[in-house]
Amino acid sequence: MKLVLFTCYISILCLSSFAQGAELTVYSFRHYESDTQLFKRFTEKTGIVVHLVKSKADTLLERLKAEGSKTRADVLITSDAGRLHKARAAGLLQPVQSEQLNSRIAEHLRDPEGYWYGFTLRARVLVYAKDRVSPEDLNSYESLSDEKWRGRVLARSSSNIYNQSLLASIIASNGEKSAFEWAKALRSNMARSPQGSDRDQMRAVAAGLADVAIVNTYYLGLLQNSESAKDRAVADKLAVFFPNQDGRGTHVNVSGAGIVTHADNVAGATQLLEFLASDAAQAVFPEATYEYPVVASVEWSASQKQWGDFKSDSINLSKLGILNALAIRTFNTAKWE
Amino acid sequence: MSLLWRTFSKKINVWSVGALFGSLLLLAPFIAVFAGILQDNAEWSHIAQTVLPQYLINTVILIFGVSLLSLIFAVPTAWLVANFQFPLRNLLNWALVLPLAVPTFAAAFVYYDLLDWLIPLLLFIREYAGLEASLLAESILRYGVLIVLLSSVLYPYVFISLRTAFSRDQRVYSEAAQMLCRSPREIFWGISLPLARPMLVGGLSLVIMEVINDYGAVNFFGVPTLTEGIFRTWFGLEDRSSGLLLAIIMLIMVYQLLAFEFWLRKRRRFTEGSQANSPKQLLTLSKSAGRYATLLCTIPLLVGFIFPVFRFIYWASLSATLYQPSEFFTQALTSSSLALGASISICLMALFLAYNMELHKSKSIQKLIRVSTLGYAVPSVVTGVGVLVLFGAIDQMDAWCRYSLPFILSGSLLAIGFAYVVRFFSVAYQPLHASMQSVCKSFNEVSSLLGRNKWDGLRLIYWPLLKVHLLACAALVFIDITKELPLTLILRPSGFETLATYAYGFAKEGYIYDCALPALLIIGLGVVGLFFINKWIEESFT
Repeated sequence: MKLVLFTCYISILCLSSFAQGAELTVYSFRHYESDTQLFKRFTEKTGIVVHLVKSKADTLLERLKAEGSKTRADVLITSDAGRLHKARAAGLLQPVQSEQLNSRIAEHLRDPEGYWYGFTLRARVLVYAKDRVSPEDLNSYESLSDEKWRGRVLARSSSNIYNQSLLASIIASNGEKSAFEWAKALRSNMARSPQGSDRDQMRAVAAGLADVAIVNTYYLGLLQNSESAKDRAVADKLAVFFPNQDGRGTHVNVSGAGIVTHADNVAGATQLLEFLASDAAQAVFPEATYEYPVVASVEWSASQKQWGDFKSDSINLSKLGILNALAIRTFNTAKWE
Repeated sequence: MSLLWRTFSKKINVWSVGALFGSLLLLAPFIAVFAGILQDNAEWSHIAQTVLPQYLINTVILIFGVSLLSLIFAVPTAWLVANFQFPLRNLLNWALVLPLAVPTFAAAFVYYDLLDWLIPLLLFIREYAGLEASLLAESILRYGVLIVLLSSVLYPYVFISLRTAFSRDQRVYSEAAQMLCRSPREIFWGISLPLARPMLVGGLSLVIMEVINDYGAVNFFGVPTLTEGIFRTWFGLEDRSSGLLLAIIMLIMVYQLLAFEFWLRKRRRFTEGSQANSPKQLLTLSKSAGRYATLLCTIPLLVGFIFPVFRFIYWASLSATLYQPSEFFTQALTSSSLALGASISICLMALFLAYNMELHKSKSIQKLIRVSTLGYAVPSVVTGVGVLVLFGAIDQMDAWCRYSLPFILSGSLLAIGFAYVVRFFSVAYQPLHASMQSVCKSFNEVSSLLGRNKWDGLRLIYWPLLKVHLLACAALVFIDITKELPLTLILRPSGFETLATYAYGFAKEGYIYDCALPALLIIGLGVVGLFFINKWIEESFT
């Protein structure tokens, strides 16, 4: 009797692991409420129920590796292209055959062989104090390593993936040695040790600790549209500068998705990817999360329009994943914590 | 040969097999993940030459800083509430453990704001003493605030152990000293503190393990420790072997600490007479001394609880998200039911293994049990991946044998519950084993003399004497699990949301104000847990 009860108990604990039909399991690094709403709309449209597992990107990859052929995951979503490339390299993704995806998403924002596709665009820009810096003083990421910026720059920790991707793009463009010199010089120009989030860099610039910070645009969108008057006052003191407009363009990254190698529901997963690239879904991102849409015809939010149009770096984002480990080693050697 | 078998079979019984099985179960995820250390560790020399010294220095600074400040917060307050009557003493006696309910990652957001408020000071220093001086001042302030924040939410581990030691375990000795007209100061330095040393080190070892395991706060404050090194090396540089080597350095540090604590406890072992459980007479302090005592006890409470809670309330008022009460109710129910189930399992296992530790004279079994308590010192990410690898291998065993389980373990509630057991076993085991040594020893010896067996010893002596301790440990583990984040993030089943993961989700995407309400609810659940701990401890006195 006790054995029966024990077996029932274990089965209940493991119940959640049974897969059912017309369902999709999504492993996602994104924690936005708006994503959950989007998945609900997808269910209304297709009848396919989406089960969401939100976690940290690196540990999601470890989970996929450990679960192997028994994984319940159908789709992997991360908030940077580097990790999607790592997932592909580890054999965790399978190529997608979809004309719709290939026609709507620009070539450099997806894997050359269709293993993953970008859905939202994130620009890493310079944010400066309007009262102390003139836009004419700014030029490129590289120019921030100049002696004139000593004690005037802020950036977050190098353990952050957005900084790692930025350095990877600089390595791809200027070479390893030059990228190392840049990281070292920029670190010594910082007004304080790397710390906090992009939001904290902007608050410190507004408070006068530094004049320029390297941040992702959507964090500024959050401040500009915050419920807090203090946050809006911070945003009012700042302006956006898109660097490298005379050269390769501003560094961008994507949130993207791919279909898991051992997915049970490949057709449903493909439908979800196509839904994320549709006009209806793309229109949600600029308003809800202040990320740029990847489909050019979709309208930007008011904040994005105010920041202005820009030229983005057209490096294929797979390259950022290939160079990620080298970027970390470069940060380590340059002593950028 | 037959002699060897006889000696061996003498040692085999349900207790030794149980101890072996229990310990190995707790160690299984680590065995699974540490097998990866045999892979190529290509990045080790790069790490050793570049970032390792800084990781080590930061880890040591935080261990010493937080230990020292935790003692400053915990020792005088525990001594005062255990021995004296002063204004608000009864309230403070309970309230001083409340900071334990505040999750470290949430406290980090609140305290980071303090650094923003200090920017005018840095600008002033920069203007009058130059950039280098301002950079130095910024570093000192940042490390200082981080140490204050970690100490302010972790000191209750020491406070709880010490309060029990001061008020109950030492009653006979301190009352004898009072009769010999010794002053409170003499009693404190000469009797109370030396006698409480094992409990103090026991509480402090939990604080230290929490400190070296922290990832969120140290990362946010830009003070990378060995744990951050593990993340960076394992996932960034994709060198699992070097990442695990860093984890081993941490484990060696903690194992030495636990061995030291064990040695201290062994040397200082003492047992109490039956009157130890009778209530202690509190001395009434004079009016001015009483006021100072109230003030002194309010400071840690203010720093570790009142300030963060008020800040969260303010942030919650700025939140733009419309909360569904039903959603919150579900999350609170998920958080608390899983935490409850896991904490009961942990406490029963801790009782069983601690009793085994007392029974067995065999050094190898004692060592094995002690090693199995190291789960708390292992960074959660290592534990989490260990459980993933272990359960993944069991799920896929049909690849190398014909049989496969009728259900999938990966991504199940069982996986996450098991990970909690591995991680938090030490939280229940350490205080329980300490209590066992000080409370039950002599009774058990009598029981053995009367010819009672080991099962009777556990059932008739240890269980009734330790029931209240067990409940207190269960409540402590419950609070820890309610706050837990990394393991839940790594292992949770689909659609599984706890209050901690919900709060993290907002903070991760930059919606800092929206994480305040779930954080407040976590604190609320913790306060309920602490209320019960206190009630049971008080009941144990009467």
